[in-house]
Amino acid sequence: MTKVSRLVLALAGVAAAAGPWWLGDGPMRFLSELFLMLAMAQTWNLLAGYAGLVSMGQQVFVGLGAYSLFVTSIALNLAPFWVLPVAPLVCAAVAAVVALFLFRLREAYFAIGTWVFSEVVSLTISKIERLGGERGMGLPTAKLIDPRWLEPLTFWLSTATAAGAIVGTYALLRSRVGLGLMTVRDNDLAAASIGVDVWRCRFVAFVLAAAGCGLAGAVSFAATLYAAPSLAFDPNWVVVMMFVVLIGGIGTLEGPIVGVIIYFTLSELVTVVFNLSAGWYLDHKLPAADLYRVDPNRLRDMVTIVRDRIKEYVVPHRKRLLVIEDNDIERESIVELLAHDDIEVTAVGHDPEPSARCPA
Amino acid sequence: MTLLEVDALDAFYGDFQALFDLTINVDAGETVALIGANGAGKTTFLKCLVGLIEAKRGEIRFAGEPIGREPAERISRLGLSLVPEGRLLFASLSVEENLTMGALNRRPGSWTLPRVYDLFPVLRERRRQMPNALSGGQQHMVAIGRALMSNPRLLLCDEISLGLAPLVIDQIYASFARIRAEGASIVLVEQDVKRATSAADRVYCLLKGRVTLQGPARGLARDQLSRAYFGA
Amino acid sequence: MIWIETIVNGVLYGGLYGLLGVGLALIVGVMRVVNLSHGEFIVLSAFVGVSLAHVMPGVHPLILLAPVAVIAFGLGFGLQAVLVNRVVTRPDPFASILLTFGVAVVMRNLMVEIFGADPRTLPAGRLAHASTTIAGLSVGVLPILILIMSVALFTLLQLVIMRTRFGRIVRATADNRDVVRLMGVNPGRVYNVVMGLALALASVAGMLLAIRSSFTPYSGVERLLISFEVVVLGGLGTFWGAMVGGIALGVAELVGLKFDPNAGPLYAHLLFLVVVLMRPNGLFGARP
Repeated sequence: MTKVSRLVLALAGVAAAAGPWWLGDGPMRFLSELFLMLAMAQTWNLLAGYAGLVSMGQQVFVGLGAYSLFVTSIALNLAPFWVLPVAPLVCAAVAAVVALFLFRLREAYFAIGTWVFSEVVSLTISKIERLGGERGMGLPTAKLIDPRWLEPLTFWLSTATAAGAIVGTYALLRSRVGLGLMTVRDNDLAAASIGVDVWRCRFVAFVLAAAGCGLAGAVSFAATLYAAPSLAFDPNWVVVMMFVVLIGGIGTLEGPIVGVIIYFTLSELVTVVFNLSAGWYLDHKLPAADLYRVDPNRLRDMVTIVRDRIKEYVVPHRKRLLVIEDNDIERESIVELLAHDDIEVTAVGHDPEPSARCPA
Repeated sequence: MTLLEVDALDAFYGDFQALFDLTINVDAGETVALIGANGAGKTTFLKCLVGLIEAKRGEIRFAGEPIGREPAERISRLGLSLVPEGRLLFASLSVEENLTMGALNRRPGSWTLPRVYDLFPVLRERRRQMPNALSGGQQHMVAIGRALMSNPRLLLCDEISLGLAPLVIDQIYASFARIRAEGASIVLVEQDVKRATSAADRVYCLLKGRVTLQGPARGLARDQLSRAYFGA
Repeated sequence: MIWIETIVNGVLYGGLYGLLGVGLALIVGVMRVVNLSHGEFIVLSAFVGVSLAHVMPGVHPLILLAPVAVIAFGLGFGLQAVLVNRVVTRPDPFASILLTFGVAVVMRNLMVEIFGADPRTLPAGRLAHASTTIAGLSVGVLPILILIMSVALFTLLQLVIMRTRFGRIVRATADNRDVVRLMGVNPGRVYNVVMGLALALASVAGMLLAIRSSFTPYSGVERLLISFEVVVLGGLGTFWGAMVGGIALGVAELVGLKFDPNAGPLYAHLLFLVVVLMRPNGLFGARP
């Protein structure tokens, strides 16, 4: 990472940690929501942009995360934030089992299948009286938290979840599974033929995405102290995830960041400028749809410019390349061919310790 | 009379220039062959003629009318018909339905469904079958028949011998005599130089989007052709 | 006895579900477009029906099916010509998803503004509850009418697509949009008509559904899900598959409701999952 981006990140971290002191309650809540949406969008991006799995049922993990948190917190009589890890774990477990079945479906069938699965879970939960049925359940154990710390804790957790989602995705993409995913994304048949375990890569992505969504869902609903099937399993969650990722640039790390900024900016703009009443989170999409169809090229250009700017600061772009070639002429021509602003090339004639130079 | 005049044609795939300053003519009643290696720009040229690719610069005139900027739907009514590379038959339509699709834009002329079946009798037996039940050669026949159904003045054939057994290619090329006799001019795009030069009156050779050789089909020396085909 | 009646009623209503899905099947099959606003158009036609019924109180809603279908055709034609045709040619499959999703949101909000958020139904008078006895079973008159209408429309659609010149052009355009231009066909115009047709069919289904159950401007999402389930269950690329899929879902839902009255569409969903997992390409699907 460049020094500048390291500095920027450090400053951002300090600003986030100090958030509750310099941000008012309103802005804090707003940012919490933004960060949680960012985390969820990042998981959808991982699935659709990298693993090639378009899921229209991701909201099932939002809901399962919320409900597992509520149930555990009440059962163990612990303050909700202590049992937060339950949410991602439960979701990961459910995802692992469900994947065995859903992965038999492809593309459109998979998308609809995930949506139907979410509806099934939602309907089942609304029939369970102990979970509050259709009316939903509250979170009495919230009393165990000092009310003054509720907003700040939510804020920190949201920030951490978003940061975790981004870092997690980044780490995953640099791992072996991640490299496999990138080949799968481009052409899964070709990937399989070179020995990539397509199923396993997708499985890992699916489980991790579920865990991420579950965590974000749990934090989101713990903050509102109330969960009901119609809210927790609302398809609108995945719809917003989809919108954010598509408008920000699918298959890129910074896409969801850009997308979520655009999304919230537009919605603020619309409520302030147009002053529409019917649900603020719906209305922003009106101008977005207009922009998209009226001048898609210009919007794309604008988004690309913004995206590239952010990319410069967020994504480390300096690659390191080691060239080992004992023929001088060959070595120099390779270096010349591959040299670029963002590549740091080290060229040697022969390498006495091959493993030492390569980072793990 | 010059049926087709192409003047200084430039064509692009996005930013990539595929055709450079092409000038090609076809007279009424002629058969012109366009030869060249893969990627020389032959298919691109045909696509430009029928309006599937936009010509960036240069002019295309068909029977005196400029067609360079016209959409494909309109050009098809003027009497230009393409037998596309890879046949590209409509998979959900039967053989007969494919042929009748070709007649949507029919101009007055002698090619009707019975006449096409006369030309390719095996299609009459298989008229209700779906294209994927036919052999490669038979599919080519359907593609040619479909193009003929509109009674074109100029028939453009893109690599119709590709992937076919020599005997089948003979059959198809034999049909050209009938097609010519009914008055159509033909542009034949081929990789097989011998076939092309034996079936055509004149030959153009393309290499990397440029015309490297033109002349009467049987007057060209082998080494001349070789150089034009592969480049010096 | 009750069970057989329930199954029969399920079949009759299943035809309705099939009709909900067949419009979507047309759009997906011909244009490869995922129309996320399909549900909203279904609900909109119900609202238009309700408004017309208000304005013409003596006229039975079933007669209003025709004008509503015509209006829906016009809307579909316009939607395609003005908006969707711009994204159909792009290789990016998400463009149409994003666009139709935007249309859905706009429509939803407009409907709330114009019609309000209260639940409505389309009153069908005595017909809604009339029942008759066939072979000793009590079946509703309305469901029979609905089934007859569904089968008739399906058959008509199948005939048009397979036997007419227009149908040939539609199939050819679906196969290869570029080659069909060489025959003088403008794919955009074909898509306009297909979209109009699809929405006209959906509007009939929307009206009939409104007689049976109440709806609000937010009901579009449920309708969309059913439409998708029908299309996927039957298998992408078949019409009669959608009919069979619809009937299967209808039966599952009504039978499920008989012994579990709170379930809503749960058993239909479960059936969907079971079938689709056993046959990943749908019941009759050829193309994945």
